[in-house]
Amino acid sequence: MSSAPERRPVTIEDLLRLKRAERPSAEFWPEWDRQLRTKQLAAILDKRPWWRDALPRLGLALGRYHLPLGATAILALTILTVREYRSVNTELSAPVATPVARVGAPSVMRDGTDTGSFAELRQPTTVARDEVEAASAEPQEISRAVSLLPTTRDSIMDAMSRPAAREIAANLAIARATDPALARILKSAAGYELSAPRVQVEEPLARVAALHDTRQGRLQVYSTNAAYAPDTNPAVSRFHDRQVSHLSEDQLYEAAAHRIGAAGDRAWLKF
Amino acid sequence: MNVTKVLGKTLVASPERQLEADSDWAVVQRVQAGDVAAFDQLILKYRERLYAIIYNLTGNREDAADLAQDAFIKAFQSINRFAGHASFFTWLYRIAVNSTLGHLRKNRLRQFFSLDQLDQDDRPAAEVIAALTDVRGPERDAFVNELQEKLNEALQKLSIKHRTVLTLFEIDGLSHQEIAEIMDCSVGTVRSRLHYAKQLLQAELQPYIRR
Repeated sequence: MSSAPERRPVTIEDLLRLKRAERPSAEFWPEWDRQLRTKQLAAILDKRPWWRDALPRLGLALGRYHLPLGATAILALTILTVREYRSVNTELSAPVATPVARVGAPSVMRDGTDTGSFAELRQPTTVARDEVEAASAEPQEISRAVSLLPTTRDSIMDAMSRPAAREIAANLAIARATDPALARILKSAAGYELSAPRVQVEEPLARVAALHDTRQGRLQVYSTNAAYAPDTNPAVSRFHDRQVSHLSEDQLYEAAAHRIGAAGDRAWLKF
Repeated sequence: MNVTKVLGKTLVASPERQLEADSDWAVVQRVQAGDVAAFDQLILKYRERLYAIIYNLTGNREDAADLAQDAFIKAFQSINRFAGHASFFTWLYRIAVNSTLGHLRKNRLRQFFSLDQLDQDDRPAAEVIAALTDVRGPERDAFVNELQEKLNEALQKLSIKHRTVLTLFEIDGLSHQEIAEIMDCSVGTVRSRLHYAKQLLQAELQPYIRR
């Protein structure tokens, strides 16, 4: 008995080799060629969009200038960044230093008696940006003390009549006499507005003066005068401001209307 | 010739491929110079291989015919941009494979298979079939048709990337390096995809594999 003939092993590669033997029939290629010619002609006649030719050319042309273009872009970005940074810095520093800018105005106060030099004061007060930055670098306590000084003629006159202002002026005069360094700083701070560009600043004290006409203003002046000495304390000052601002004109009228009344043979007053 | 071009040429697998690439480059230069008819030489040379690769990727002979024609037209339209950094054959294959992958992705849910006849006079194929069955006549033809369908199904079950690598390596006979260039990936990736694809295919075609 003869056994069945031994067959060769079949691997996955052998099976895939079968795929190579899958071929189109002989008449397939002439038809394929004809179709290809038709498509080629159609492609030639069909107008291609301009950008399909232009963009690669542009890319090649710009390829030569990669380095200069990149360097220019970086330079432009740097300049823009530096400019932006500087402008932001100036904007941020100005409001912080604004109160200190009053340093130069009351040189009179330091003299104590020279009221005639009030004419030298500018109205309205001006603030120089560069000087403000310089002034903001001075010792904080000096800045705080000097910032309390009034800046306009009326307000200075008004302020001079107050005991706190007189006390500050006296203290400054003493400090100026005893400490030459402080005197130099105060002197250099005085008159800085003349050479610097001027910026309009609203007068806080002038604003207070305008409020004298209203009831709210009178109340504020009363409360301020009543506690003028502690007014140098910022916390107390803020408390007064809040107190006054909460009392509007309408509220004052309404309060009065509820407290005083009359009906028939009676009249009442509530406390 | 710049460095990239030299490098591209050295990546070509064998001396035959090198000769082929040089002769192709000469023809391409003629086409670029304005001799449009010279492009026909390239079409005649590569049309069957290009068709075969697309056919094995799509499993559809009509799609394969269309995509092969489109690939030649694209190559013709872009011939002036071909700078010879790689061989023309690699460049043409890349165009064809990318077009086919785009087509397959676009028509992922709509797949129709139409297969070419297996050339039973092809000697390696005849040997494989003889090893698988000893029947003759119509039964043999039925067996071959069934095997073809199973093989096609198994291939279509692979992901597009795995199918492409397997087809380019096992059916079209390209080297790992050439496949890596065409598919724009590393040789290691090609090897790993090939290994994985063969494992999957082996599991699918287990009844036809004889140890």
